[in-house]
Amino acid sequence: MKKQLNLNVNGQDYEVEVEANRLLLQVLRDTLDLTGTKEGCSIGVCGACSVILDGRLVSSCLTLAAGCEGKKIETIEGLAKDGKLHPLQQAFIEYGGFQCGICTPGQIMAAKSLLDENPKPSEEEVKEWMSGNLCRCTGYYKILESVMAVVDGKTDPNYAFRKRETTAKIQSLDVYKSVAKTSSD
Amino acid sequence: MSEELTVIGKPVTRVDAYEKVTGQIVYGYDLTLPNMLYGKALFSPKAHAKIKKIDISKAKALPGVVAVVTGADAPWTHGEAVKDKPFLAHGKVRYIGEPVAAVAAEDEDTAQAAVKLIEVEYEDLPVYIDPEEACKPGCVEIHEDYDGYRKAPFMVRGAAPNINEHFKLRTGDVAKGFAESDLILDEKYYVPIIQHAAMEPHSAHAQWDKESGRLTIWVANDAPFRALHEISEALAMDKEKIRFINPAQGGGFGSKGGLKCEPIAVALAFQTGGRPVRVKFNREETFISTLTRHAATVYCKSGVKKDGTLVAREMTIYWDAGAYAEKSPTVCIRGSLPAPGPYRIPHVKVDGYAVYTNKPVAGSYRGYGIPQGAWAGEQQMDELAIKLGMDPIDIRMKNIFVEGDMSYWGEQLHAVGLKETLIKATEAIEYGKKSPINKPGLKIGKGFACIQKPTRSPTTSNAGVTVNAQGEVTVFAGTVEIGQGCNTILSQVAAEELKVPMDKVIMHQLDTDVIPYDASTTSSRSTYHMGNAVRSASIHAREQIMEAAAPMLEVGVQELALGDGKVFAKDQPQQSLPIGEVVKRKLGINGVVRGEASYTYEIGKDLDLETGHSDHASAFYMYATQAAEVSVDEESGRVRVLRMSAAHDVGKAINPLNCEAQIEGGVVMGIGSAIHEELIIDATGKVRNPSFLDYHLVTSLDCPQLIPIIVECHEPEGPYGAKGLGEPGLAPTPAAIGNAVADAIGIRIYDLPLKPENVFWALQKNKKSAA
Amino acid sequence: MEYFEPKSIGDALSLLSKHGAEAKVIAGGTDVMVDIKFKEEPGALVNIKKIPSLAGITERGGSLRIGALTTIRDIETSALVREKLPVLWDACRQFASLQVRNTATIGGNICRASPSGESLTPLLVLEANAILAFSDGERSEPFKTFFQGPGKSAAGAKGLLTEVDIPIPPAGSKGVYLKHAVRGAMDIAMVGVAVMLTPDAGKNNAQDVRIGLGAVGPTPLRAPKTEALLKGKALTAALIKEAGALAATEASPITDQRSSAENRRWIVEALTRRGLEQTWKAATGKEVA
Repeated sequence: MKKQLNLNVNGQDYEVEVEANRLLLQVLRDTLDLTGTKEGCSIGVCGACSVILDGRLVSSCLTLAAGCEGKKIETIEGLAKDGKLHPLQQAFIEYGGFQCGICTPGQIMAAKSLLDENPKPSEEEVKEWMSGNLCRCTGYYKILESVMAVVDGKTDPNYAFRKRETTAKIQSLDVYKSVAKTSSD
Repeated sequence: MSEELTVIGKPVTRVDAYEKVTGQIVYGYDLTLPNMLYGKALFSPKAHAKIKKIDISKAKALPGVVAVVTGADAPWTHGEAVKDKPFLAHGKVRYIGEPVAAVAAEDEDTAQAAVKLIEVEYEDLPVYIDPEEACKPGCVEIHEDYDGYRKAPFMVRGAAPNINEHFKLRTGDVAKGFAESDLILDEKYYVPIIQHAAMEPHSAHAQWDKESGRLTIWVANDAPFRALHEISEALAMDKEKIRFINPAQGGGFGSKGGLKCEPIAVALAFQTGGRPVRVKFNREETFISTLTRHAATVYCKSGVKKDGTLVAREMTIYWDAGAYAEKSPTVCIRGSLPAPGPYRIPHVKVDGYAVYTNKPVAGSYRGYGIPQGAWAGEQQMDELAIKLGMDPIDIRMKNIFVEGDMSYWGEQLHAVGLKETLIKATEAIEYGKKSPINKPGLKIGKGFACIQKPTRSPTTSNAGVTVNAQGEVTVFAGTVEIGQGCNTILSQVAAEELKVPMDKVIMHQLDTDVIPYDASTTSSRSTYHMGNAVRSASIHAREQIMEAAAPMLEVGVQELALGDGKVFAKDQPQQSLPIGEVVKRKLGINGVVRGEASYTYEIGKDLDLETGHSDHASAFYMYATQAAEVSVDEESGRVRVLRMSAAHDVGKAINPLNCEAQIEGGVVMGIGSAIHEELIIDATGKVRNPSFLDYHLVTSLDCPQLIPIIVECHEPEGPYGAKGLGEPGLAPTPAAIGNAVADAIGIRIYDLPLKPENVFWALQKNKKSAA
Repeated sequence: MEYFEPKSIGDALSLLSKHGAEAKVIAGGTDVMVDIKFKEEPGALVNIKKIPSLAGITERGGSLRIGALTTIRDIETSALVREKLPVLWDACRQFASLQVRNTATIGGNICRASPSGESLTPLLVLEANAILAFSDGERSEPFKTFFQGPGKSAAGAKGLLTEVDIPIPPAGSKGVYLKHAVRGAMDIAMVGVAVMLTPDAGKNNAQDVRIGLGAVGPTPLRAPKTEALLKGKALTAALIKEAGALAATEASPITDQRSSAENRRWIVEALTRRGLEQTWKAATGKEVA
């Protein structure tokens, strides 16, 4: 059974037609191509799929898309405004709050929902709030540090992380086969 | 260059940061290809059985299904050391979770529905769960054709059934050593199966173009060149016809080398008329059908003199390989060899056996066999000390490897920063000082452990570095950014040698059509091997630029220097040219200077198969000590890690921020494996907890205070003196926590994990025996 | 799969009677969606989230009424619940992750009727009632008889839980929920113990003690013998030790991959004792002597 849905994602309205059993995560990733929201466990344990729904942090892998009609959906893609990173995004860069990056969108959305509600949480409150966001790489310490840097106003005000230019994807396509393809297999 | 280092040694932020914090980066499982089909596999529900019949007719008839394949359509096998693993089961299945058939369909739901329509008839065979049982005389061979498989030359087949590798280390005479000892301890230790649980589940895309005969595979694989080699061998297809492209990779920890989803995707891709297929495992499939870490049963016997001098150590280790060999033979070798620990021991005997069982396949895992050996050896060091009335620090200090020592495998050691790590790690948690925490029912204890870790050797890394007329530098390196930060480290190396700002350096996407060969992103080898290759390639490019610049600036090459993206005359710095300008003047606006280099660390003699000896078993050794303070709830048995220090000899910290990150991540992963992680497999071979709900990763609330400590013991052969660091953070963690728990409750626990129930029963048993 | 969003209780009930066992009610969906993905897709999914007035916490005549669609997070953050029903508050804050608490509803947690469901033992010790709507009318069912087995409840396939009616315990009553799990967050309880203690006027004796045991039987349980042992007495170390041991005998746990039955009994003993210690201290200001 297909269903017509109007979804508001990051302030933009989308009209989609999806099966009634589709999850918000699937619609974001597969229909709207917003793959910044990740899937880690599919059962609402890891938090990689966290998005903010009408101001509340939810696991989009457990959220029926049909139930999101008329609600405001915020995802990682909506955080940077006019080329300027959100303070949390900047802090995660400055303080090394990520490694592989799969859990990062969820971590940042979780932190954002906390700071939206309480701009001055304690370290313990941050840990508690974000305990549903698993990370396998960092060991959490640098994530906590990143969030606390925003809380304590320790991020660099003049920070300008330029998006890396990719102009140098040059005429290289056959350059490097010249190096012997040694194999020790 | 003798000038001061500009970016090496600095905590520069990561080059992959922007794409990751904005969610823009495309990972393997994010990738959607035009006209793509969706693949799903049917997994075996039987741990060991003959396949009597497969009926795919109903699945084929389902509308939307494009292809259904079984082992009959994919008569190929692969494997790194032993070619034992079919693309899809051939005639029998050997574990629950083995791919038996697969479907490609227009959408995922249809593919899944079709999989359910495939009917398979099985005939049960005996199921082996315990490796020690599986190698008893008279057991059925899980691989009845084992002797006919193609195998790597270094492999030694065991004498008993189901052993795929028997590693032997023989030094001195342990019988004599034990006879000379004042105290002998002999214990059995157990480490359970755990899983990598990288946050991105496995996936692979494949496309077969009949016209050109080319097979393209998009996959987040941390050893694409080896994967290419395996596919090429399996299909008997020319390597040049195969192309691997790496999208971003969401963690690996050893789980994403080798072939997992790739064979399924490839088998399907040959049947779809050229359309690409994506095979994406969900979390449960990732748990049962990709890779695990070896369970190990370790028998460890040590003899010491009264003054704590180690005389002899004998270890027998059963590595539970699971149903296919994967990397078991090399885990068995490289995990068993250093298992006796980083100590001078005159008499050593080690037997490592990698044994097939009917369980999910075990393979490489951050630490590569070191954590299992350390769990036994380092706990026994503490027990020896306690029995001798010595401080655990003193017994280690007495025996620990130092610069120039001859190891028990016959190699003279250099760049050994172990002692310093021991001192710093134990100081950081005030080891020896009683904790001020005093809560009834809560016991506090401290403990530590030391490790040494070799790297896979010999291996090769090649690299290319280009500088264009815009002064931009592109690095062509086959090291995979799996989250560990290699792209940042390698960018730093290129930026350093070419003296350009970091944002002028771009890492080229990993594509085997473009990027030169690299052995693998494993074994903590990349900073050292690829670091050296990128450094030399950068120097190669730099030399060409300097040579071109000399006549332009009208000075000799020797009088030139580089700085801030410019070439200048040493004595007249204002006389300068931007390096891009040099390239432009020499080669035109589209000109590119190309530097290239190859790095191989040549080892000496190969490992002797009878004695395990080698005069150079590893390009370098990593040394570390970690110390833990824990609390144990006497009633529930719950262990909490309160703080943990981790001192690592990294040679040289190319990026201290990243070093800390690697250490912290490894420590916390190790804490999970120490206090709760375990893949529970029942007697039928079924995984009982294949989800993040019941397979317990550490959460932010379980994370202790972390104290990473960087020790720099210059490694002469490493780039700027650097060694590797990816794995060792995990390796001593369980043993350190085990020692701390024993210190807290006065009871030694020999089996991991130290989950509440296990600790609880140890406490109960002790109460009973006391009463 | 057919999908419905009834706008009233009546519409929902008629959908349920029309589709019978084929129908599945979904509220927050944190459990149902997992089943749909990995077990079975129902013939009809009845999303009751759009029915107005099923969410909210109100005080009415000595009771707190909590609408079935009230999220666990709303209960956790309700000052009223924290003040009047501390045992329920304590359980809700230990419930899964924030993401799940923001979505999961108390009605869903109750109707799931899992023996380890976090809100269930508190509701048992609070002697709360389920307000159930059927096509032939409304009925109030005490939770004592509401839970009938794992996944089975008095709501059956055709009833709809609309509200929870919780009598407010006497002033001075204290409650705690203690959970035994492997890690600090995101776990299913291996054992959950809810303890509620009401002191007498002089704060010398326990006038009323209620103990709920979770994850140690096919349904959440009360421990009536243990409660009887303690009623009217001053809590001493010897008494709570005896109480813990007795509570362990009242549990009927099974062995599964999370814990052995025997270990669960030991934990019941320890947590009962701790729960009594804590509530006694909170209610009387005195340590257990």
